[in-house]
Amino acid sequence: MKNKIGLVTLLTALVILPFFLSKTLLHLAVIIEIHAILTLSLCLVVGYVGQLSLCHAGFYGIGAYTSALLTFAHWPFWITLPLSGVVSGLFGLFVGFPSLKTRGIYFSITTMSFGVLIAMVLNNWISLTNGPDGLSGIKSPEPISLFNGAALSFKNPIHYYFLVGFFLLFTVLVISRLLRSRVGRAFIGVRNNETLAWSLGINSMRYKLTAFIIAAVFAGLAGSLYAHYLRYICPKDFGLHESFDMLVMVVVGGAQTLLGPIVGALFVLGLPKFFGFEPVYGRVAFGIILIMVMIFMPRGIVGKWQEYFKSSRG
Amino acid sequence: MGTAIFLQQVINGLVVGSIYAMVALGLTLIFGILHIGNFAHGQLYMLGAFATYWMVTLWGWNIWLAMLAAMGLMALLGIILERMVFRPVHSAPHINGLIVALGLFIVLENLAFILWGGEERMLPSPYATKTISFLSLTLTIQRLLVFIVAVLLIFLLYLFIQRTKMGKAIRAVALDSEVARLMGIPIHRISATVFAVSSALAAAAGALVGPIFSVFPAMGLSPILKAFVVIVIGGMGSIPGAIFGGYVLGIAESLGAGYLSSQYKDGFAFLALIVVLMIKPTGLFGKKEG
Repeated sequence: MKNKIGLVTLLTALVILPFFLSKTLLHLAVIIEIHAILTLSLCLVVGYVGQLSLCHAGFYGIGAYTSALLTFAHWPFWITLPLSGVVSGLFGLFVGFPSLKTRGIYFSITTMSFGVLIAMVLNNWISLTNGPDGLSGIKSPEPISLFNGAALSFKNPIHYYFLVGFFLLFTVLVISRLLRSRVGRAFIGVRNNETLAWSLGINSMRYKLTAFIIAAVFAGLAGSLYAHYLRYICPKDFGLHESFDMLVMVVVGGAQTLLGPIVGALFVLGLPKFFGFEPVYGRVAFGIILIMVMIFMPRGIVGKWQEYFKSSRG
Repeated sequence: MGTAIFLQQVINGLVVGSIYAMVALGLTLIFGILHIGNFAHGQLYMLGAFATYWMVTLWGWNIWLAMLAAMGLMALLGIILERMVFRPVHSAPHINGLIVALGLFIVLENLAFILWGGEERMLPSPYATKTISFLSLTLTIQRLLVFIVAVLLIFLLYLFIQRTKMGKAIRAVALDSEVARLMGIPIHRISATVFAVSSALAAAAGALVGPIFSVFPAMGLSPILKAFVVIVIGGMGSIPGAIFGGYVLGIAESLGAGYLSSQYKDGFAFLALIVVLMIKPTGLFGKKEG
C-alpha cells in the first residue's frame, strides 16, 4: 500500500516536472529517459542472466540507423519505430547465438568484438550510412492530432519527453511482468545456478537467448527514439564508449532491481551536469566515483540503499 | 616486387605483433592472478610512452635510459593501483573488477588529456631516420629495434616466470590461489609483483613504438582491445598463447591491410575471435573454464 502511494507520487512528479525545467535540463531529461530504456533492457542481460554484454550500443545504433534511413525513404516514423525494434532484435539473435555459447570474460570480449564491428561498419559503409559524418536532417515524428484540433507535435521537447516517458513506462511494465512470469523465474534460476537449472529441465541457452533478444529489441526502440529526437546521428554515438557507459549505469545503479538501472542513468548522466564540470574534468570525476562506488557499494546504489533499510528495520 | 611487399608487410606485422604480445602478456598474467579483465592496462602503455617522451624532450635523456626509467615508474604505479584500486574488489563479483578497470581507464585517459592535451607527438629517436637495407627492402633501425628489444624483454619475462622462485609462486597462484595461499605463498606480494612486471612491460611497449606511431592520450585503446582478442584466442592465462597470439595477430593484420582492405584492418581480429569462439568457446589453447 505504502509502495503504491509512493509510486503515484513519483509518477505525478514526473508528469509535472517537464513544465518547470529549463531548456537544457529538459533536453537532459529526455536523454536520461532514453538511457533508462537502454539500461533497463541491458539489465535483463547483466542482472538477470548474469552476463556482461558490451555491444548494447550496437543494437541502439542499429535501431537508430534503421529508423532514420527508412524515414528518409518516406516511411512514417510510427512504422519505423517498431520496425527498428524488430531489426535490432534480429541482430540480437544473430549476435546472441554465438556469444551466449561463451561465458564470463569470454562473453564480454565476444560481445565487445561484435560492438566494435557494428561501429566499424557504420563508419565505413559510406554509401549507406554517410560514414563518420553521420546522418542529419532526420525528421521529427508525425504529429498526432487530439480532440478539438489540439495536437502533439513532437518538435516540442515537452511532447517528446512524454513520448519517451510512455515508452519508458512500457519498458518497465514489460520487463517487470516478464520477470514475474515463468520465464523470469527461469532467468533468475539460470543466473543463480546454471547447472542446477539445467538439471531441472530449463533449457538455459533458450532463456538466455530470449533475454538477449528482448534486450536488443528495446535498445532498437531507444535508438529510434534518439534518432528522431536529436535528428542527427553519427557512428560515434554508438561505439564502445557508449556500451561501457551503459554498463556502468547498470552496475553503479544496481543490477539486481529494476530501479537500479534507472537510478544509474540518472546518476551517471546527471551528476556531471549538476556540478557543471567541463566534459574532461567530468569524465575524471566520473571515473573516480565509479571506482569508489564499486569499492564501497559492491551491489550498486540501490543495493546499498536496500541493505541500509533492511539493517535499520531489523 | 611481390615478395618485397609481402616481406614488408610481415616486418610491419612483427613490429605491431611485438606490441600486442607485450601488452597481452601483462594482461594475461594479471588475469591469471586476479581474474580481472584489466582494461586500464592499455593506459600504462600510454603513460609509459608519455613518461619516456618527456624525459627525452624535456631533460634530454638518452632514449634507453628514459625507457628504463619509464618502466620503473610504471612498475611503481602498477603496484599503487593494485593496492589501492584492485585489491579492494578482489573478493567482489567479477563484474565489479571489470567496472573498476573501466573507471581507471577513463580516469587515466582524461587526466593525460588535461595534462598534455590531445595532440599527437612523435618521440624523437636517433634510430627513426636511419635505415638499413637487405633483400631488396629497406626498414628503419627503430623498427628492427622494437622487434629485438621486445623479444629480449619477453624472453627475460619468460625466464623470470619459469626459472625463479617468484615465478614459480606466480604460476602456483594462477593455478589455484586458494591452495597456494594455504601453502604459505604471500598472495598479496605475488599480485603486486605481477602488476609491477606487467606494467613495466606495457611501458616498454609504449616507449618502443613512440618513435614510429605517435604518442597521445587515447593511444591505449587499440592495443588493449587487440590484447584482449589475443588472450582470448590464446587462452586466458596462457603465457605462450599470449606471445604466439600477439605475433600471429600482428602479422595477420598487416597482411590483411596490405592485401584485403585497410579500411577494415582493425576488424579482422574481432572477426577471427568470433569465429574461434564459435568453434571452441574457451579459446584455442584455453583450459576448461574454472
